[in-house]
Amino acid sequence: MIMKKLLPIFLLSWLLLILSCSEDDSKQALQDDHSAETGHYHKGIISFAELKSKLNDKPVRLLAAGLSGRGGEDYIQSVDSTNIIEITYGDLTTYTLNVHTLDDEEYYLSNLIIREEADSILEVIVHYQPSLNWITEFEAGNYLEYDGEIKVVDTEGEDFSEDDTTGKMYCTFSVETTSTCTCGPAHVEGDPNCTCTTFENTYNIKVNCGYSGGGSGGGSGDDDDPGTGGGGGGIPTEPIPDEGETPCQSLALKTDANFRYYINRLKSLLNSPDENGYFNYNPNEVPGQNSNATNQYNIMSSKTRADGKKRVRTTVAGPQVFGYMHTHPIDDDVMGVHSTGDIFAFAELLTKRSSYGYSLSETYCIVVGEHGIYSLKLEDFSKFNDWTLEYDTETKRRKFFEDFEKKYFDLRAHESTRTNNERSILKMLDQYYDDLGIGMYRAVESNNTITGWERMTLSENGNPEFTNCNEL
Amino acid sequence: MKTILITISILISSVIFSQTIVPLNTEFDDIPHNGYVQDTQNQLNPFEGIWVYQQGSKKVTIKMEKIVYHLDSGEKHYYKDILKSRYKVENGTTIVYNDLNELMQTGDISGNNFWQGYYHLSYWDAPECRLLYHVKIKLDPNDSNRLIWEMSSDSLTAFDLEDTCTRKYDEDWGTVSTLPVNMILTRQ
Repeated sequence: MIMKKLLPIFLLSWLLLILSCSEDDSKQALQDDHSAETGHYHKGIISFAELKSKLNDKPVRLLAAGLSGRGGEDYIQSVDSTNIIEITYGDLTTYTLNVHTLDDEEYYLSNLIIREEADSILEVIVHYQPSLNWITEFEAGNYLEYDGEIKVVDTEGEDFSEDDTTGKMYCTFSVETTSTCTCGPAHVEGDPNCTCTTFENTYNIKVNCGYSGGGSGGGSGDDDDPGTGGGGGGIPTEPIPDEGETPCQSLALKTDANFRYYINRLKSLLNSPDENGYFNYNPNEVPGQNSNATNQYNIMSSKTRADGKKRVRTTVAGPQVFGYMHTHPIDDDVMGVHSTGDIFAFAELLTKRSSYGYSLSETYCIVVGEHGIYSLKLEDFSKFNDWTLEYDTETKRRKFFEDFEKKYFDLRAHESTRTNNERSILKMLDQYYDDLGIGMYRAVESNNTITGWERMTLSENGNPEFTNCNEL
Repeated sequence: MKTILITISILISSVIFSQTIVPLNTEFDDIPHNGYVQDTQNQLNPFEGIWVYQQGSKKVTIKMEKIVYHLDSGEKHYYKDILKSRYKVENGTTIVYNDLNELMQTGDISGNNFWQGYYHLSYWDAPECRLLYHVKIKLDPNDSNRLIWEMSSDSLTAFDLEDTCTRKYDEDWGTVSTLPVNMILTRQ
């Protein structure tokens, strides 16, 4: 508990928000980044009275709603106004306050961030769930770069990207590091006005937003203009290149501590009736974003569906997403392997990335189920390429997966045992291998820790067979 | 002589091109390539017709038809008799959704097979992001003019489908789906 009290103070004093979110398009977002890089940087603590004064004539919902008398059904239950961090960076000013929300117990810390640029105001709540490793190191006095989950919602607790109704905005969030002077004014490293020789790391939550476009997509996926780069449909017009890295080589990278941490989190949630998940993405592949970050994880949002259970989905509809991992809850009606919807989503993910010319070999879709951890991987680029060219409209693809589901229903063994599930998904992928070229892999675990992967195939007598990736 | 030749040709053709017919719910491994999974016991027939569900001012009308000889996809091809459905949702005088009179073969509610006393179908919710739902139906054992409808959701949703449409919460149904989760429909 002491740590939980200290952490907000620590993060509040170290977090710098660079919101490069644009309501225009991602080109604007790119320009925001550049202006921020060359602008003056200032960080300080202000009082709540000063905050009100600075934002007096601005449409800030939090201030309009008032801070007192919160509770009940309010999403923001209370606001800690004792330490408000003000950061000016180029033309942007941000104010960060610690808040407590209705779903406070799900997160280690939640901040309200108010971003001001000219007459534009943006208010978001950032929830943090640091990794256990990060907390352990922090407790030992080692301040590592932030490692953990971030979830960004609006002040009503709704997914941030869903507010926009005029066009579908997608946003990504990542934590990056900036070196800041440890003496004098808080200049960033590289600023000619900075005379310091020593620097400290500050943590930046970088938010990039842009419109996903829509329509049929297509084209090569110009990085500067996601609106024409296949945001909506993403049907490739050029053949998908055959890539050198095999699925096993790609999956071999998926045994690191970060990956294992998120997998273990999902395993611990298997008894929940709701699905939970993370998406894996490369911020440097976000169209228009100036970032070098790769291999980040974030929480998949979920929606309550018709049966009252939550099913994961993603609000990040960009080609930068290269992998999903999600649970299939332990339930008699739920298979512990991929469903038709999962395979459909994986095909869409591949299609989206291919339309931008991004790597398909690293792309994956993992199900964490009662009997194991399974991943879909694209094995035959040529077959998938032919499929995307043949099924080049949403209607055709829907018809394809409608028939797919019909066959899946026919061939699957409905009792959810490990062998039954594995046999069913393998039979299914076999049936459509000539169309999709997708193969199946299972994580090898030792003492509840992923140590490698194995390729799954069907034997001649129809039973699952496994070949360790180390032998391929 | 000519008659004999024709007869022989017909016999040979029927042997070469004959199709193995198996009943619904035949195990997948027992369905031959190019076989025909036929509703030999007319199990699908009682579901055919117009079904109506009323909840306050909201009304759901579902039309079900048996489609014979539906061609499946995948490596092993076979034909199958299935149920297909089209539907209309009204709220008072407002039509929320209606594809009742469109081509049944491409209907968004598409039958799979029988399992544990229910006939199972897939429902692609066209106006609501084409989310995929599993539907199971059966006739009320005490009244064959009443149809019991139960719906559950599939797993991970393809983002493109969700992000190119606007979802809306239906307060009457208590869901974002165009059709309610549970219904007891009455035959018209």
